[in-house]
Amino acid sequence: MGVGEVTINALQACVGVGAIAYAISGVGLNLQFGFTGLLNLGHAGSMMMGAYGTAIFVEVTGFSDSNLWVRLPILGAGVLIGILAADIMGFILGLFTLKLRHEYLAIITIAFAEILRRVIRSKWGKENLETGGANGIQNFAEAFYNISPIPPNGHYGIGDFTFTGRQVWLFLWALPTLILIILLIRTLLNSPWGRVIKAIREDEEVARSLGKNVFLYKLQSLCIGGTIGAIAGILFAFERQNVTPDDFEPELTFYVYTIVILGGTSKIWGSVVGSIVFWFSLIWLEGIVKLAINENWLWVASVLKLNNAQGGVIRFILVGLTLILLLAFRPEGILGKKEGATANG
Amino acid sequence: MDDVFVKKSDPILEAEGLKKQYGELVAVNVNHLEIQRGQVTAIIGPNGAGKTTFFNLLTGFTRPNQGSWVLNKKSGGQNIPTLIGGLPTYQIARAGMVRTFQVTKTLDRMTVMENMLLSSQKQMGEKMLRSVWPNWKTQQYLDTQKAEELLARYGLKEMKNNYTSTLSGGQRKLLEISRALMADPELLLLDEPLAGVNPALIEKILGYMRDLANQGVTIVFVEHNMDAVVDVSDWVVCLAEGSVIAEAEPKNLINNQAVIDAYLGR
Ligand SMILES: Nc1ncnc2c1ncn2[C@@H]1O[C@H](COP(=O)(O)OP(=O)(O)OP(=O)(O)O)[C@@H](O)[C@H]1O
Ligand SMILES: [Mg+2]
Repeated sequence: MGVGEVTINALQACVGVGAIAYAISGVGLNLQFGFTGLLNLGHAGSMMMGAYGTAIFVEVTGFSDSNLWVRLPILGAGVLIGILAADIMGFILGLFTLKLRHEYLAIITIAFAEILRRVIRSKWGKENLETGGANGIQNFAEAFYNISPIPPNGHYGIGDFTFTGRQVWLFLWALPTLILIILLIRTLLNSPWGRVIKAIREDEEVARSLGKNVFLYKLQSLCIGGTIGAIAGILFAFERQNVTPDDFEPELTFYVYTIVILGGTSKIWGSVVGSIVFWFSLIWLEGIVKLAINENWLWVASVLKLNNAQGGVIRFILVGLTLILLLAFRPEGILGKKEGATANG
Repeated sequence: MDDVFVKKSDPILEAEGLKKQYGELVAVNVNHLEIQRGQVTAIIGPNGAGKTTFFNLLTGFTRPNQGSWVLNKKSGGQNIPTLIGGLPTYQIARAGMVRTFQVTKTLDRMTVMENMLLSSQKQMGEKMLRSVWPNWKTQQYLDTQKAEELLARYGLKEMKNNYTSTLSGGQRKLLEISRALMADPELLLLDEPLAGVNPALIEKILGYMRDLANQGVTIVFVEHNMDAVVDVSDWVVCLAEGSVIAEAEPKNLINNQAVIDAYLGR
């Protein structure tokens, strides 16, 4: 593997379904964080509810049915149930936390998401909720790939930059989903509803003093953001055909925050740019660090005694460092304007 | 303390035994207070007398330890409900009692016009499901016209597309007043509206306050500028250590010994 190959891998990752799913997730989080001012640290929980809601429903109903026309509607219903599950979670969480101050919202959301994840991972969850425990659930979205008109094993692209038929099929669904969500959220944010949302971010006492039911708006924002997070989680799970509890650790929420902040919180489509940059950097750094260790660049292997496993961790250190530098020197993000950042989606 | 309560012929607001304590400190302790409809009432009193806290209690920003207040008990068939203190802030505002803040609160990353439009009480597009379909634009158009008139009156029209973070302190004060007016309040509570405003503009604002009162808007304002208070108010209430120590017409109140001792200090 050389630098060229590493770069192509990174380019593929940053336009793939994974990157789209993260971008979608970022849009949901940015509505809550960037526009409403809600410090939700349980976003991974919404994504998890979406993915698990779908997978569990498929598993307990029509998983093993051989007839595609039974499995397909079940998968569709599963997706809706996944979204609904995330919504209900957002609603309940909101009821109990939105009257509290910022810090408490942050603490409770992160704790709640993690507790849910532990329950799903546990033996109890495996036995009573069909969560599959630590191993999760596999191949639940087969029906989706069965109806693909694109030959699944073909390769599509130029040179080394290719995708499989399955990847292309999912991509064809993921990209319009992303665009639709962005358009919908933009419409909302540019409407009087969005004006109230932004006013709540700026100073919720003003909104209250002018007759706005701040609690209701926050709850709506939390639920819409959660719904979008769930859709992202479902796409993510479809891509891997696999959900495990360890995909939804609290770090996931922080990756999505990184994406939102990278892209700039003042633009709803900033998350798209953020996701592309995030995925490119992550995969590229992974490849480069590996290369550096294998080829002993700058004596990293002989003097610093780094091995491949440690190399894998370094990229996350670099991501964290990037985030810190961004917040310190360019808090408005890559796209954001410096003075009086525009408040329009 | 003597009971200084004066009954009003047509009160828009009646406070009854309203008390707020912070630990040992009694911030507000108002036995009876009535505010006459359609008049300009000033609330004066030394720093820390409880004027702002009283506003906070009325608008639901702070919950009283005891007591209640009623808005529009004798609203005479108008479609404003009778309210008992304890409602959420936003419902109090919707019922027609709108306030401004002593420490100005503008929405910095929004434009002057957005600040104004936010205050509209008729915009159905603020409902989530209705916002998706753009037929809220008709109301927005009407609101924009109204906002422009108000902004022009307060000398802010040229800045309508500026972010409020770029306004000066006095301009923010003016924006806050225009924004409150945009909500068509029946009862307007202004917390030190003249602080930091230049003399010429003070004259203008006092003029507008009189105009509003003539149009039937009831105004209660807190102010330390006694010339302005005497100039504009129909009635003055003096608070000290949380309690009403005197209420009277301005001419009479400034000669009240209790007020001189506690506040004016002549
Ligand atoms: N949140 C609070 N916690 C504790 N004490 C408070 C709080 N709010 C107000 N107080 C106290 O209540 C008293 C009344 O305060 P308030 O702000 O109502 O005074 P004020 O009459 O508006 O004064 P000023 O003319 O200086 O604005 C003060 O002694 C203040 O310290
Ligand atoms: Mg005060």
